[in-house]
Amino acid sequence: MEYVFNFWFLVVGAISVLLSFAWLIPKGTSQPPGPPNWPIVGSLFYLSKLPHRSLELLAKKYGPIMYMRLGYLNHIVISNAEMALEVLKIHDADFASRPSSIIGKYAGFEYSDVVFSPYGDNWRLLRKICATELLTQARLKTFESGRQEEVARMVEKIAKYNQEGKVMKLRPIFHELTNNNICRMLFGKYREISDSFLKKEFDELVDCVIEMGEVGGKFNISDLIPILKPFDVQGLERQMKHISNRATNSLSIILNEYRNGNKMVADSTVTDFVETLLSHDGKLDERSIMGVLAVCTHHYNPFILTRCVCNIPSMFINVVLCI
Amino acid sequence: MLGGGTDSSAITMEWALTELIRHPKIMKRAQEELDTIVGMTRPVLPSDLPNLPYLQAIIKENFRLHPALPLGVPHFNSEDVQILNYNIPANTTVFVNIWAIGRDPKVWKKPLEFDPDRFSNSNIKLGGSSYSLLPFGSGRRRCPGLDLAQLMVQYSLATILHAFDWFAQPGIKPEDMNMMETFGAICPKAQPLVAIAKPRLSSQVYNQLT
Repeated sequence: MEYVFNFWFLVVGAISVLLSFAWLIPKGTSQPPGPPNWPIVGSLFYLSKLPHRSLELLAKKYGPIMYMRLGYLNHIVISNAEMALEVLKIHDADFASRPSSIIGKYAGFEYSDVVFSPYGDNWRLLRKICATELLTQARLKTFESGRQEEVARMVEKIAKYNQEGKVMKLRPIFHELTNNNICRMLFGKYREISDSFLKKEFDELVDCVIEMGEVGGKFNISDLIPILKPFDVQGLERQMKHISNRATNSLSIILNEYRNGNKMVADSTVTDFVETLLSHDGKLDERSIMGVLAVCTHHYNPFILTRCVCNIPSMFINVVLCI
Repeated sequence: MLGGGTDSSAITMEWALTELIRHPKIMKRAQEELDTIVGMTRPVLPSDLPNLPYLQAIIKENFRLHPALPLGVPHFNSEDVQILNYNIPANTTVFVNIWAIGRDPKVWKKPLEFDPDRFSNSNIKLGGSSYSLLPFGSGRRRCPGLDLAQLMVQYSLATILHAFDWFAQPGIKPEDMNMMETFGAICPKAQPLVAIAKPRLSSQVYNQLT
């Protein structure tokens, strides 16, 4: 009798414990499927040098919405059109922010540019200026003759290679085209221009963007394992801070000259982006103006793991040495 | 913008030209379209671009296979979100694998084949309203430079295809060109494209350009 009593006591106890858990957990709390998560590194080991390819293979096994912990941070990975619609349309506003990262901090001028800025008023204003003043079809049309000139210069260069019977590498040729074109829109000026007004600052700025791209394209372990942040084990933060300071100095000088009525190219009749951004002086803070002008394409990317996975042991050694 | 509008457009053009050198028939068809619309006596003008549907299809096909940012730019939620039956806790980083979506065999027939004709008679757009092709992302965080990027890529590709015939470097068969990418913040070809260009227009047309 005593045993029976104990048995039912246990059953009721167990059910009530389970129910209390079920009650504590809200409905639909299940996590999307995903690969196993290991201590500290999470699922980092499942990624190769080409993480988009590894993730495609993982999605074949775990489905179009996957959960992965990378370092200490939660990630979900979307891999088909239906789930993309779910995240980018139905839940657009819910997922409209950006994670913090050192690249957003330094290349994005303290997260104040249009790419890295978290979802909020500053981002809304920047987005509005981009969508209604800077990058509209009508505005792009005002730069048409500049674009034509740049494309003509490219054709000339290609023809010259041909005359000399040389094979050519196309990437630097295309890169020069797009870089000159953007510079003309931002400042009315491209790199080779003979005009020397603000040349030093302008060249420094272009160099900074290239350097920031190189440093920012590297995987930063502290973005995923925040406990390592104060140690800056790879020295990336220090480098980015230095580049960011140089870019800020150059941009401050350029912006001040504009504020004093001195455009980069004095006789240019086309309104460049610096002028447009400065017309919002007061509403837009200095950092946002700089951010829009300089923002780097090398977006924060925790999947740049080429060096990461093999470097983890040596990073820990570094941390130990730091302590 | 100095950063954002530069690298991604340049590597997109490199990918597109590589695909065309690998597929000489497709390059020839694009040049025939240019010769019909533009002719051989003047260079391409920006106003010609809307009249070049085959070129536009090539560019879409190139974005499908070679998006400059294969994982886009990460999104982030500051509050818990319920998607279907899943709970996504606050502070989750969200990646959309644009690269995998462009190669999804459930959506794209023979997904690894470079076939611009898949876009003839289709209303798939690049601007983020077609969720099976998202090179610029979609929604409020979509790439703000979308129109500029398309304009640059269309205009420069049209011009160099109209002005030159393109060939792989000597000793490399077009079909043997290495098409692997390297991964960084953007995804360029692992081996930079090296090519040869032969002029196909009279010298007067080149003079009109400069």
